[in-house]
Amino acid sequence: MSNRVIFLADMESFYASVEAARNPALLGKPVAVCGDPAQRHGIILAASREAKAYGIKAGQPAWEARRMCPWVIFVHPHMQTYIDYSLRITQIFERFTERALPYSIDEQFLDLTGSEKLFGSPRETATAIILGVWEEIGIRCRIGMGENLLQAKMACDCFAKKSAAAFFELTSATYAAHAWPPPIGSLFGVGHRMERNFHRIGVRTIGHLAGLPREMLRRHWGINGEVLWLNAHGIDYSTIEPGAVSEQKGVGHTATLPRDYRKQAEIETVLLEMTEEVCFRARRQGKIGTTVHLYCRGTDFDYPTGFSRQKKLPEPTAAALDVYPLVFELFQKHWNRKPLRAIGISLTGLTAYRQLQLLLSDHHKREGALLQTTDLVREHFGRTSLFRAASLAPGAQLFQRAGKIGGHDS
Amino acid sequence: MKISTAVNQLTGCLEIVEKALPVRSTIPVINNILLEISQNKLIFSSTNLEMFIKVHLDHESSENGKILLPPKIVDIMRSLPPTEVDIDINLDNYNINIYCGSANFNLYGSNPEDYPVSFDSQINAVSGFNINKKTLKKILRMIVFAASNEETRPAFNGIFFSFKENILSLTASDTYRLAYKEVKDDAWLFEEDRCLVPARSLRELLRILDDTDGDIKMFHHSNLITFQFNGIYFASRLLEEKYPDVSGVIPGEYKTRIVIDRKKLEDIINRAALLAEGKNQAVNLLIREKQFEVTVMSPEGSMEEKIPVEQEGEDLDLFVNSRFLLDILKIIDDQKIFIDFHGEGGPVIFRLLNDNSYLYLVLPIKKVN
Repeated sequence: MSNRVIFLADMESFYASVEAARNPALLGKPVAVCGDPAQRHGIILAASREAKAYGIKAGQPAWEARRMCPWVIFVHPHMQTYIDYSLRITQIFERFTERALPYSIDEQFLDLTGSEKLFGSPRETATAIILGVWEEIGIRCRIGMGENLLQAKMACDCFAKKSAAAFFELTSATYAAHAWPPPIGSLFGVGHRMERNFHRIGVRTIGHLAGLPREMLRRHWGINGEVLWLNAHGIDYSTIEPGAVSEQKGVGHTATLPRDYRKQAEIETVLLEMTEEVCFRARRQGKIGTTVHLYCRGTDFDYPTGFSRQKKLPEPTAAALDVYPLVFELFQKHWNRKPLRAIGISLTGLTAYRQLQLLLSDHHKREGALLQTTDLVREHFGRTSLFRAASLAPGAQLFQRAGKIGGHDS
Repeated sequence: MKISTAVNQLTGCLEIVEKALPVRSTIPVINNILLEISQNKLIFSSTNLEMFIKVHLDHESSENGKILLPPKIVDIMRSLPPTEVDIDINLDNYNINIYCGSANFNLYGSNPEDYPVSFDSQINAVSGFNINKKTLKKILRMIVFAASNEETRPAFNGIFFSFKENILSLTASDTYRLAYKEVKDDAWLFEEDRCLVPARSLRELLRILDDTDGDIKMFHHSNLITFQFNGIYFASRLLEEKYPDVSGVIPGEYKTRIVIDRKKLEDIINRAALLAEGKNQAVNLLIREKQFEVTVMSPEGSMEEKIPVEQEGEDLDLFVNSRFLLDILKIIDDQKIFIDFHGEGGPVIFRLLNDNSYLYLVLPIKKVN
């Protein structure tokens, strides 16, 4: 196969850049996007280039950022706007290739193989894309290029982000020269834990890892270790197919609670609300699920407690009242009575088809009609137009969460 | 004491009693096979407390006695050459010596004292009724597969037997499909009665039933059903669950009826099932203008196949689980069958051309919303 041209385009400080693009008064100032610290959403989601200069990073608590730079400007997140901007950026990319694969809200892979005749050399194409995004959206975009997805990602993360041209090119021939000296932690796929494991066996740079025998990696960490070895060599077999968005296998919902929940009754209220939300989302896709999964995390960071358990439903369903008994059962069985900080529920094994049953059809028909009607009411008049009485009980989250996207202000 | 007989004969008996040996039991003693020796016969018994099997073998002995044989003995018998075998049993220390050709096994049996008393085979030898063995085997095969294997609804793990006048009817269902068969015999005169027999037991019974002619004596009372034939005594406990009334699910008038070649349909569904996926294994059936069309769409690709059929009634388009179709198609050996449809959400019913006492009903799969 001839050499492919893969780009990874990454938006600099995406949320903060969008805020600056919407409000020019923020341009050139240290800006941090973060939620309401009082509601325990005081985590920095993004920091502008200027804020980063003070050492502010995404994931930090707001108070720490304030200490690093007292005049930092905090901005509330506007999730819907970010989604809109991301889609507009995709439209720019689509002028260059139909083979675009969104990797996250601010990163996309683009396959530009064979488009030299149309847009010139890869460097010229990249420059055109960067310029297009800057002029039309007002956001700096960095592009890493490689012969496969991994090389593009490495070129972007390790080099393009630090280069003035905002572009860097890796090829199989130059990969070792550029990618082997950096520390092992900067290899794609190596997290904190893996980094520690590698340090323990004396692997400190990507080159060290590349020098180890492949079998050894497989013996120690299985298929995952082998993939990291391939990554260290710049080998990656994945491809971008147009329209290759894999089918969704589940819908889930995880939320950090606004305060620690200790009372069983309050937790159960939230469990019911979240079950309702997850089922609603499954129904909106016209799906029913076969397995329910409950995740609960305790409050203590130093001694993490909590559990993550799943159970198969007797019949595939997306009716909250059929799913909730299992959620309740999982909770009863595994909760250790310690206060909770975060709760997640998901419905997996989604299918669009229901096997009809003898004798039960009448019950299902009525139930189905009721759910369709309530879903319709909610879609027209909002989540809070029709709700379970439980959402009026202490601890309920429905009214707090209504109107948010991913738990952040829309 | 000494047993001398042909290996084949002994293996035959042991392989039958083996069917009722428990897979894993908390009561160690029932993992063994009980051997009772009397002047003119050997009786092998086994039980898992749900099923009981006794097999008689004619054999002249000098002594009477009992011993528990370890289950390993079945494998040992199977491994021996098809000649004569001599077994020496010491009833004092339960030592078993097996001599066959140049092979010699020494096994440790055990004390039969604690073996649970299964039932007294003499009580009901006179009552009960007879049914042709081939007939019973045939109807069980057509019914038993439709019962559920899941533990969630215990009633559906059973086959429902109903007795009335001169008719015995059997029903099995797993809530997604249902099989029903009636047998009539003018020699019978039942008092109205019913019982629920575990499908698991009947599956084992099916494995024991051979194709020779002859009758089976059947008998049931409050918590047991028994089948007696060829020196074999098979009994099963009954389920105590209440079986729901399923008569209401069988609709009267069909909206579409087709007559189709069974073998051709089986082949088509087998091919379609290769691409059918998930728990539902759904295939799409389309009937229009006297054409029967099967299609499957999956993320891996799609297939379609079309054959002409005799069609009566309206056109139709529905999804069904391909496994449910194959289950019936591979059991029946008729050349052509009826399939009745009752609209999009209604059941699909398989019927035989020459036997209206049987039906197999499958509920379709519907798209959510």
